[in-house]
Amino acid sequence: MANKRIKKVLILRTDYYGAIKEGGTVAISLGPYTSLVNKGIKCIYLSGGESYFPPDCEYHFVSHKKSLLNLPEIYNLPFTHTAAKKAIQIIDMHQIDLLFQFHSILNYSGTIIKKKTNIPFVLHVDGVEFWAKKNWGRKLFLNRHLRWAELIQWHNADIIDVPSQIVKDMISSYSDIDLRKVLVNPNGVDSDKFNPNIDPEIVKKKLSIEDKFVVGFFGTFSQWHGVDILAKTVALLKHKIKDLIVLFVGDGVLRPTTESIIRENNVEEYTLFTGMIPYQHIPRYMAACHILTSPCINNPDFELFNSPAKLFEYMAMGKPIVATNVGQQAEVIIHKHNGILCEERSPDSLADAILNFYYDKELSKTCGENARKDAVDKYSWDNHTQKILDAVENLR
Amino acid sequence: MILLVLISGNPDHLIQKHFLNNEVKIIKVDEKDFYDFTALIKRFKQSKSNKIFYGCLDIKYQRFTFFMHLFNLLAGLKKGAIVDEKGNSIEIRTLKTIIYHSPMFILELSIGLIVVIRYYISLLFNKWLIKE
Repeated sequence: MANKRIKKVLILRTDYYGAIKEGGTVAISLGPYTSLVNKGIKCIYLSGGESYFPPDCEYHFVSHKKSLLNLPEIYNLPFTHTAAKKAIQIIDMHQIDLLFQFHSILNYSGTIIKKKTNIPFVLHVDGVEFWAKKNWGRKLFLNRHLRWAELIQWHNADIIDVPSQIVKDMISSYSDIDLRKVLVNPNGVDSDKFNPNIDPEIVKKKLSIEDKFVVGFFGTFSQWHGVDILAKTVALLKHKIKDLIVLFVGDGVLRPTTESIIRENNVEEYTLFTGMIPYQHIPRYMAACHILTSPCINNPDFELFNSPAKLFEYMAMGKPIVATNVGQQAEVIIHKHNGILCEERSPDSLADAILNFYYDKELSKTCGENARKDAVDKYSWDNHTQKILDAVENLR
Repeated sequence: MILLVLISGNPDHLIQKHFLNNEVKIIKVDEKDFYDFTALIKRFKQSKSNKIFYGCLDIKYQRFTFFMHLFNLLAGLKKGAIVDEKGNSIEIRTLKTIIYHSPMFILELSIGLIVVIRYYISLLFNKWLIKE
C-alpha cells in the first residue's frame, strides 16, 4: 500500500564507483528505488556515476572533480558540496518529501541538504567506512576527515537504515548517537527478477557447460566474501563430483589470489571465471548453477556485518544454498531448511556441505523451495522500504 | 608481446577492441596494488614485454592514471597506453610523462592539499556544532 504522506523521494548515491555497474551495490542501490516506485512514490535518482537505471527513471548525474582523481580519497571531499548543491536544486524544484542517501566515504552531503531544506533524512549504512578503510584498505588516508564525516552524518540523519544488528553495534561503538533512530532492516531482493523459472540454456551454451554440474559463486571478490576458501575447495571436490565446474562470477581485489590458488592446485579445468557480468544477466547465470555458495568470513575484530545481497538473490532463485555460519547468513539460513550452513574458513566443511546437496537430491529440492518462499515472504525490497516509510511516518 | 595490465573490464572485449592481431599476456591488478609499486614494476620487468597496456572499463572514469604513466617510466618502457572497452586509448610516452603529466600531478597535489585543509576546518566546525 502506498504511503499516504511520502509522495516524492530523492535517492542520493555519493560513492565513487566510476564505470562499474555490477556487484551487490547495484542491487542495494536499485532495489529500494524499484520498490518505492512500485508503491506509487515518485523517485528521483542523483548519483556520481552511471548505472542500469530503468528507462523511466529521472536520473541526474553529478561528476566528481576529474582534476583530483589521482589522489586517493581527496576527490570525495569537494563532491560533498557538489552533490548537495544539485540535490537542493532538485528538492526545491520537485517538492521532495524525503532524502534517502547511501552512506559513503568522506561525504556529508545529507547533513548539508537537511540543514538547508529541513526534509527528513534517511541514511542507509551498509558498514562503518572508517573501520572498512582501516581493515581492508592498503593505506588509511585522511583518518580524521573520515571519522568526522561519518559522525556528522550519523548525528544529523533522522533515521539510519542498517542491514544487520552488527552494523548497529559498530555504529554504537564508534559514536554516542541515539540508537533509537537506528533501524535494523536486512537488504532484500527483487523476487520477480530473480526467480526459479529463468531459462539457463543460453548461458550454459555460451559457457559450454551443458553437461556439467555447476557450483556457483557470485560476488565482488572482496575480503569478506571468502572466495579464496571456495578456490581451495575445488581440489577436494574434483574427484567426487562428476563433470564438476566451479563458476566464479565477479571481479575484485582477491581475484589474483583466487586464480593463483586454482593454478597452484592444478584445477584450472574444473573452474571458470567470467569476470564482471552486467547485473541484468546475473539471474541467468545463477539459473545455470546447481548449487550456489556464499563462503563469507568474519572480520578480525567484528563479526561479518554485511548483509550480502547475493544471499537473498540465491534464495529467490530457489536453488540449494551453501553458506558459512557467520553474521546475518547464520540468521537467514536455517540449516537443512532453506540451505546448508558450514564452518567459515574451512574448505573441508564447505566441500562436505556441497557434497551433501550433490548426493541428496530431495534435500536440494526442499531447501530450494523453502529458500524461495522465505525470500518472497521475508526478504523483499518491498518489506525493506515499507519499514523505512513507517519509521519516517513515526517521526512526524 | 604485449602485457595487458587488467585493472577492470573484460579482457576479451579489450583484446577485440585493441589487440586483435597481437600476442597478449594478461595480468590482473587491483588499483590497491598500486601502493606496492616496487612489486608491480618488478612484475612488469619480469614479463619481458616491450609494451604495457593498462586495460579498464572506461578511461573517462579511471582513477590514478598518472601512476600508470609513471610505472611505465620507472619500468624503463617507452611504449604503452591506457585502453578501455569502448575503444578509447591514451598513449603513454616518456617525454610527455616528464614534461606534462609530472608537473600536472604536482599541481594536483597542491590543489589537493588546499582541499584537505579547507575540509578539515569545515568538518571540525560541523563536529563542534554536534557537541553544542
